[in-house]
Amino acid sequence: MTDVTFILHDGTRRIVDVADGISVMQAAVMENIKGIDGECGGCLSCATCHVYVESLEAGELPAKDPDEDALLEGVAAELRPESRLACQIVMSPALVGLVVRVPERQV
Amino acid sequence: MISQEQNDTYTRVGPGSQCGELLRLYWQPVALVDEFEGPRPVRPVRLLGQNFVLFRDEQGRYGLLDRDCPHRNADLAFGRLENGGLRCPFHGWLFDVDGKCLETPAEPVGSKLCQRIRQGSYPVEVRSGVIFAYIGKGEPPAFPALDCFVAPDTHTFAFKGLWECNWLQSLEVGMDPAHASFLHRFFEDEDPEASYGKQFRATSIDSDLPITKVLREYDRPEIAVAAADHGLRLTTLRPIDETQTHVRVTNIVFPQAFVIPMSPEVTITQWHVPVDDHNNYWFTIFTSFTGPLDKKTMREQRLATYPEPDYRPLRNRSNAWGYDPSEQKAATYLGMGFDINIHDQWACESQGPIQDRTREHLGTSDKAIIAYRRLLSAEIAKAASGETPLMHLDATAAAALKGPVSFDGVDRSGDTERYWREGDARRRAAAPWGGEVEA
Repeated sequence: MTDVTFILHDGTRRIVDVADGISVMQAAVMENIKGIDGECGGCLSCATCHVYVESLEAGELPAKDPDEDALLEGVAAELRPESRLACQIVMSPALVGLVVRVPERQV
Repeated sequence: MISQEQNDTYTRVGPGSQCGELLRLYWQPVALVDEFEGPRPVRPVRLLGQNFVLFRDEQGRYGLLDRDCPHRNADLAFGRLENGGLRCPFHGWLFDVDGKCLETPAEPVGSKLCQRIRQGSYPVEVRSGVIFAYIGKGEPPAFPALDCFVAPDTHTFAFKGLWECNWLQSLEVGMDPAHASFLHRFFEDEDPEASYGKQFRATSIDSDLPITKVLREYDRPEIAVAAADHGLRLTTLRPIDETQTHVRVTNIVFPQAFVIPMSPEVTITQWHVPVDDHNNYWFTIFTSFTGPLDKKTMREQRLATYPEPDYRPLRNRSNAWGYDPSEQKAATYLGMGFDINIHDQWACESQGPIQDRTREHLGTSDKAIIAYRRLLSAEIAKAASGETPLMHLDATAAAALKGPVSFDGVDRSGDTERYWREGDARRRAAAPWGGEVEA
C-alpha cells in the first residue's frame, strides 16, 4: 500500500492509500475523486483520466506507451510536460510520495 | 461447538475470504464432460461466489472466462459460439478460450481497443469425465495420481448434483461413519445382485453379509482417525461376533473430497465444491477395479433424480424431500426413499444454508469431523501466510500420491490393518489398470 495525494481542482487535498498493482485511475474512481473519469476502464481508448504529476520526475514514473502520447494530444484541459493518463500509473512502493493534480476538465 | 467467528472462517468462501483463498489454491471440479455433449457447448459456472462461463470452441478447446462481458457486463453465457470463440450478443465483442479479445466490431476501423481488452480466463483440465478449473493465484498444483485419475476412461464414471447448503456440512457427512447405521437404515435387505451402481447395496468382501445388514445391526462402530499424506484416513470397525469384524476404510483427500468404497469392485471419490456460501455441487468419480463401468445405466439412474441442466434434485426442501411418514414407520429409517444420496442431502440441507455450529454438540463418533476442522484451520493459516498448504503438490509429489486405499470387508484374522492392506493389494493386483499404492 502506498499513499497517493490528489489535489482537486478547488485546491482540496485527498490522500488515498493504494494497493500495489492498482492504477491511480482505478484508485481515484473507487474513491470518488471528482474530476478523474476513466470511462474506458484503463484500456487506452479515452483520455478522461488526465492528471498533472507534481511530485516525481518523468523518469521515476512507469514509461509512456506511444498510444498514451497520442491520446494526451487530445486532452480537453491544457497539455503540459507533466501530463499523464492516471490509468498508466500503476502503483508500487517506488512511487512513494506521489502527488497528482486534477485538471480543470476531462471532456 | 465453535464460535460464530470460527464458523464464518470455515464456511465463507467468496473472494478475499480466508477459506476461499485456501480453496482457490486447488483444481476445482466445475462441470461434467457430459454437459458438453449437446448442440451448444456453453455452460454458466458459479464457483466460490464468482461467476464464469465455460465453453468449448470449434477446435475442441475448453475455456473458462469471467461471465460478464468486459464491455458493458452483459452475460456471456448467452453468447454466440462462432469465429474461434464466444461472442457477446450485445455489441459483438468476441473472445477466445484464453480471454483474448478478437473483435470489437462496433468500433471504428483501425481501433486498437481490442488489443487492450483481456477478459479474465482460467486454466482448465479434463480428468475422468470432469472438467477442473484453477481460479487461484500463481501456478496451479499438479494433479495427484489418485485411482480416479489413473484409471482409464472406460473404468470411471462421473456425475454431479446440487445441494442447497454450505460446502463444509456436506463434506462433513463424508467423514461421519456412524450416521450410515441410522440415516441409511433399511428394514429389509435388497438383493445385492439387483443393485448395480448403487451405494450401500453390495455384500462386504469376504462375507455374505449385505452392507445394509451390517450397518443396521452393528451401530456402535469403533472409529480411528489417522493423518495421511492425502489428508485423513478413517478406519471403522464393527465387531460382528467373536471371530468376525466388519472393517471399513475411508478417506478425506484434502481439502474437499472423500474416497470411500461403493462395492467390492467400485470406489467413490466425491468432492463438495462451493457454488457460493449457501450452495455446493457434489462431483463424484466412480472407479472400477474390475471391468468397465456401464456408464449409460449409471447416468440414467442418476438423471432420474438429478435432471439436467442444473442437476438440482427433484426431492428438495420445497417438497420436504418427499418425506413419507408411513415409509418411515415400515421401510426406512428416514422415510425419504431408498436412494442414500437423498438421505445425505436431507441431512445437510436440513441443517440450514450454513449450519450454526455454535449450537452443535459433537460426540465421540464425530472425531473425524474434529480432526478435519483442526487440519482445515492449520491449512487456512498456512495459505494466509504464503506457505504451501497440504495437497498443493508439485509434479514429483503428485506422481507419488496414489490410492488412497478404501475398503469394505469382514476380517477373521484379528489383525484388521493387515487384513485391509492385503485385501486392497490383491484387488489392485487384479485390476486391469492398477498399480502399487501406499508403502
